[in-house]
Amino acid sequence: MSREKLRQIFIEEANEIIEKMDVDIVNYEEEASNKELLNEIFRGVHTLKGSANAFNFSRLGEFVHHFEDILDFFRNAEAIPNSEHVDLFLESVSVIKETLGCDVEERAELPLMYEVCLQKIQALLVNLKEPKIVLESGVNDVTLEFDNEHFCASPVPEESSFFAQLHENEALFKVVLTLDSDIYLRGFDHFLFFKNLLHVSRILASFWKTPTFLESEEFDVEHNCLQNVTLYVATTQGKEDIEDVFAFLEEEEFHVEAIALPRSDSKERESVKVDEPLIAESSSAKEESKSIKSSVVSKNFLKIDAQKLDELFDSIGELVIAQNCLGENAKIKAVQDAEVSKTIENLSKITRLIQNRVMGLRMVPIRDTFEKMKRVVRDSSKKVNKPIHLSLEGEETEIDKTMVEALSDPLVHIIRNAIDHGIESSPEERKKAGKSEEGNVTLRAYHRGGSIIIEVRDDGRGINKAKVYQKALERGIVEKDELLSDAQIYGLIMQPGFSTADTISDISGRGVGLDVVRTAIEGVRGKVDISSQEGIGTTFSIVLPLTLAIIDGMLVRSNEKIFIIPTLSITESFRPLEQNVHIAGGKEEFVQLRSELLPIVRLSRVLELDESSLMPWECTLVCIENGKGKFALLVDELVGRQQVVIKTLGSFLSKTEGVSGGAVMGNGEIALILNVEELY
Amino acid sequence: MEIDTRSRQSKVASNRFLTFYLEDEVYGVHISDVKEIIAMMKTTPVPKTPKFIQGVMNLRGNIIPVVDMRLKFDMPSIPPQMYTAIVIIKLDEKQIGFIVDKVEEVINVDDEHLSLPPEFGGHIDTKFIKNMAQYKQKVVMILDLLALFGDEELSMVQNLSKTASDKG
Amino acid sequence: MYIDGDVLELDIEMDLEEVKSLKTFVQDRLNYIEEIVLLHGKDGVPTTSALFALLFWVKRQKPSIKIDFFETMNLELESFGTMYWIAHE
Repeated sequence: MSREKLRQIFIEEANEIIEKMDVDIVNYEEEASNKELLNEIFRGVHTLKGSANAFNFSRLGEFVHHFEDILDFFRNAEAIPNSEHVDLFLESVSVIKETLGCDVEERAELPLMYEVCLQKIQALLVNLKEPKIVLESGVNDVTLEFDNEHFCASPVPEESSFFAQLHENEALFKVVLTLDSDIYLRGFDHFLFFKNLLHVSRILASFWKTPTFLESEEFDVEHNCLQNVTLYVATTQGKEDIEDVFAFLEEEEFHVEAIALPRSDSKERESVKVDEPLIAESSSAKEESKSIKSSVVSKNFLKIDAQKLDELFDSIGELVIAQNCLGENAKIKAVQDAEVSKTIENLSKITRLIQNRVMGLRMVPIRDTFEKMKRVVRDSSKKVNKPIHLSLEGEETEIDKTMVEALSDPLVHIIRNAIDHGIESSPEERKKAGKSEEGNVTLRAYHRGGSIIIEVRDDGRGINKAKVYQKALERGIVEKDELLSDAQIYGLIMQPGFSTADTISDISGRGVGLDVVRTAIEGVRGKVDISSQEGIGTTFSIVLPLTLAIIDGMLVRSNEKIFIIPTLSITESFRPLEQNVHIAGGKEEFVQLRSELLPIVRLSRVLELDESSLMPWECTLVCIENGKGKFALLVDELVGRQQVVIKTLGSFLSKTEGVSGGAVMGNGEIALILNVEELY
Repeated sequence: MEIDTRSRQSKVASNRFLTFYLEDEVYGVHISDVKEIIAMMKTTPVPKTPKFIQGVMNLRGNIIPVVDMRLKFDMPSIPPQMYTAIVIIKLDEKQIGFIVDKVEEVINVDDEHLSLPPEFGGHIDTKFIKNMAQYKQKVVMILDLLALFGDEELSMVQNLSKTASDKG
Repeated sequence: MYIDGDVLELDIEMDLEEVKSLKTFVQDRLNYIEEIVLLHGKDGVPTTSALFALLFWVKRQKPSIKIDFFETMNLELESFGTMYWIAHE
């Protein structure tokens, strides 16, 4: 393998490692005592260092070397990185990303933050290691003074050993005490707390840091010198009950965290879903139940060149078309042989199977994209100083890999917008509105029909309809007497005119850059819907087609032209009876279908073709369900059903209403594919 | 016939243009932008599109929009004649075809015979003309494809057609 | 609290005041106390941590003194679980 090829692979892998580090560090912040996750991060950095040096990316190598030192320290020490440290880690990852770019492109300059960040890291390293040095000498002195005795402590038990001591329904909590020196004077004592803890728990063990005495100081009994103590308790009660024991202490003097949850029956301990941090369960039996967030899940994966997959996909498309041609071929149809028909049908079945499987190759769970958003939320939240709680739903929902990229930036934009402008500016404002102090942002993904829907929901101020409309009037985006639905008004904020909004606060928030979002999403044949309620919140819904390429379509004829309707949107089709058709006001047509009354939409009218004078009961109605509801599409007749390869109509026509693409038919002709969302 | 597009970037020398007729006027486009020339073929009309968009056609499995150049230049449209052809150009990775009355030849024009377009007059909107070329005894209007089919023109056309249909 | 020869026996349950007196007592007799033993009283659990602080201080004053649990650095405290003493890394 050539050196160039190796270099390429390194760069690709480096990018993967860096992306994973980002996600891991944000997750690590929530599970600060998860040493296994920290180890994982460390390993990634270590790998980066090795490769960077091998390819002589010296600046990257140097930076990573120091970063590795910090991670090494934390993964070996008892100490846990605090929020500031995590900020530094994340900053470092950004610098690493940029430095990689600089080194790869052999640019002379360094990223802006390189020096600053490197200095911070080096300072932190010194800071962390210093206390160590002092302590070591302290211990050494004492050992030197012993003649026969050795300061030989018996081994300290591992956290995991406490699991075995838990009874059924007991959870394991770790209590870290950092008591001030004046606790005796305040009426407290370590053992007083122990005694009180016994009311709500069983104390398994306590770890005390031996006191250090300075030569100069007189030993004062009333002056507490046992400041660091850590306890492990087992309890059937909750965290609050444990915390109550220390209610009269200062906040910084104690910290309670859940280590393991109660076992239910003989099942493995389940991972905590919400905010409770978890300690890595190191015993092998517990490893399966670990939350998926951290470390590599060892499934059998293959690395595939994305281009090869695309080519395979294209070939499958061609196969589908060719197979259609075969089926449509007049001469073959004329053969009328049962054997031949069966073979062709078999061919069709197998083609469909291959197609589904290849399509499946391109589908990935949206989880990775959502995980990346955690960092976005964290950064935005800190930037505007608003506490935000992020919920994720439907992470296992699958999306075509090619869509993932297109989705990423718009999603970031929308989330930032929600946090910057949607959520109220202060917890007080939220409290007044009867909401929780923390702003809530929910990311939700699910399938509907032939699409995947990604929602970004916030419980903030909502969009002020009146102000938006007013602003649009001022900017000439709407005409004075134009009647717009709510959805259309909200949609206005994605118009280019709005993105140049000078005073964002004017319209309770949004505007900057949302037209970019809409353009990007529409570029992959998706759309963005906005719904909102003032005072309650706003929801952005991104609708994307499940796949850009092949769909199952129903062919219909109207005005002697063939159109294709995605079968996923069709619920049924039928020829109505005259008595079930009602005409309101001489124009609007409705049809009674069992218990429902559906509006009739004439395809020829929607597409502005020559209108047919035929009555509904002389035509075929196709029942379609779209985002807005159910309706009956009136066409001349059904022609057939087949798999079609979607081709775009080119940029010229991509915005044509009612049509989402075209398909090349077996006879070489083009049939337009209808966009059901825009027909009604 | 397919045409090699390599010389796109070089400003020097290569002033080679494909010329064609619309009505009795001669127009030209830079040879590097032309992908293919094919005989007139059936197109599928696309509803709710501006009039000058004839429809779409199937080019070896790809769907390409086809523009009626006459209508684009506000000339009356005529049914396909003997020499009517479709010129397929490539703009920004996208392919577009436009209908011409007759394809002429590929000509070579040196710099001194190229001049800026007139400010006014002529059949078509001067914003679509990049240069005027003097060739033999004729004046060839070299078209600015980006102005004709580029994103800006595109969105303006979209908006026009949108407001037209909204009001309609 | 009971001193038998050179062995000092201490009640683990002593309170803060008692520890204060104990300090003075031990300070004066540091020369001839060779060993300190902790007795588990009726409940068996300590009342004040100051007792332990004192023990460490005594050890520092006279490194040769033998103190109860200092060899293993851990001590069973009945209902208070096992107490582990950690010197720094």
